Amino acid sequence: MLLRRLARGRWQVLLVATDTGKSQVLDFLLDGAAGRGEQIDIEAAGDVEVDEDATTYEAACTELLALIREHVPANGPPRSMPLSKPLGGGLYEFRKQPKGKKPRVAWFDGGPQTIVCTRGFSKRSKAETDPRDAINDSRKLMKQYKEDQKKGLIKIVDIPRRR
Amino acid sequence: MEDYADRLSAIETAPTYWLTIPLTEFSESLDRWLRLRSISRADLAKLAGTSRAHITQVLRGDANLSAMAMTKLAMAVGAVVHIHVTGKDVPLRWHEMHDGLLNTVTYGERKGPLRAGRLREATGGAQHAFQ
Repeated sequence: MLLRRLARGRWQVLLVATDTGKSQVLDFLLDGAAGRGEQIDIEAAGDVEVDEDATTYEAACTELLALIREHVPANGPPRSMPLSKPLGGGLYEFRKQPKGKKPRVAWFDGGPQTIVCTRGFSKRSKAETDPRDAINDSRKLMKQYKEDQKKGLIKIVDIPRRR
Repeated sequence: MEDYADRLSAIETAPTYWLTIPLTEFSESLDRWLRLRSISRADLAKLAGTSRAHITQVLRGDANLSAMAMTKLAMAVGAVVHIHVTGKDVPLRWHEMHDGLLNTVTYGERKGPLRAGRLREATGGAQHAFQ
């Protein structure tokens, strides 16, 4: 299993990645922060209306990225509401609650002082339940990570930080 | 291999990105203080003369608070706010003095009210005699 190291401090933050080093979590947050996340959904839905909450959603994605990249490495992950929510079975989600679409990042404990982020996803409203495919994927990735960890098959590649 | 360095570097130019740090630290440290003193969020709302919804927003790190607003919230529960400025690549840890012992502060790793006997654990378990 390939992982990208987003940040390392007292805690390290790892992201599940494809063989080419692409991280769905990072693409999700960076696209959302740049206002591109909404376009993907609009195209998929065949809708061309502008999302009135896009700016708020952009800010929330930016804040979520800063939480994971700057706050967690220094302080460890928040594990309770309102910044984080346990999803059961050792899986958690980092959460932001802007008006309208709400970004989430699923994560789990990957060993001593390590968290592994599996999937980024969003909810349309407070009432909407978490997307089942994202949660199921995250549980599968958590299981695969733990198996690969025992077999010594975890490979970590740093994401360099520009000075 | 996908290189995210440029995109991450670009997002670092947004003040919103760096504002997350003090707002999250404030919300985490306020939450910790409330648990340490067994003060509920409803009690804080009452003491600070604000709504529970606002307190939830503050504890979520979503309220863009002024230094005055942070100070008023802290004062309502008998606390004060400290702010520190340093380089963005410098790891920072807070320490508190309790009964002559230096306690390393950690956030977010415990749920529920903190009792005096759990202070050592809650503050990271690291205590050092202050020289």
